[in-house]
Amino acid sequence: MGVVLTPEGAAIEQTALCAICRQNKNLIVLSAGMRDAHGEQSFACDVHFRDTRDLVLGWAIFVANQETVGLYTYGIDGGEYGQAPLY
Amino acid sequence: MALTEVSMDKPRYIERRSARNSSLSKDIAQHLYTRQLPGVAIVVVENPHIFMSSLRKQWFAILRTVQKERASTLTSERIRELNRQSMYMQRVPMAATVPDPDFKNGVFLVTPTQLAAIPPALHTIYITTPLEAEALNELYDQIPPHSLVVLY
Repeated sequence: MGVVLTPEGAAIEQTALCAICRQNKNLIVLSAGMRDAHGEQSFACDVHFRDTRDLVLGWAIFVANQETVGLYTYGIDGGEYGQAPLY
Repeated sequence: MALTEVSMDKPRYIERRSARNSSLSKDIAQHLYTRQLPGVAIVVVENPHIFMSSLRKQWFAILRTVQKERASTLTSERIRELNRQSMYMQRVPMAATVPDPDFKNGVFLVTPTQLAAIPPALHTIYITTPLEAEALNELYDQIPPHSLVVLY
């Protein structure tokens, strides 16, 4: 089981992209990870937790991508997100 | 605890997990790996000192996987990505104590009775023992908006 409640309400009515496989899924099968470069909550499918290697590689790629996005969008000091998740 | 019992007036994420297919410490270590937020994470367990050794073991098992993958790849981009993960994982402090309010980063393991003493500024809290609905609602009111509560 995954996320059951979000600030927007019950998770059963919401979908989100998995940060690893990029598939749109119901939040109930997703797990909440870090916040992305824009400060938005990111998610990963619960199935990726069954294989540590899959999780490690998938998440490392996602984090590096978010760093790049943050760098190009907000600059080297993180801009207005300087205090936020990735920095 | 039914979701209808949870007050909806404060924005937060609540996640339900089960460690059926792996150990609890492995599941928490994997979940912590995906959180990677600066700040404090709390794990509520019955026996923090015993659980911490298990959690550290699983954390270092994931770190070994990261380092193994880094050693086996020739792609510079992938090496950079895995290097970052490895450095992050080695920097995370873990302790079986109530964190000092001045602590800005780390994973802290506490008992349910120590829950009232935890600082409100945390990004994730893992609850592995049954708590009364009243205690949970108090906790939900105490934690910052958009933080995550993981219930086992």
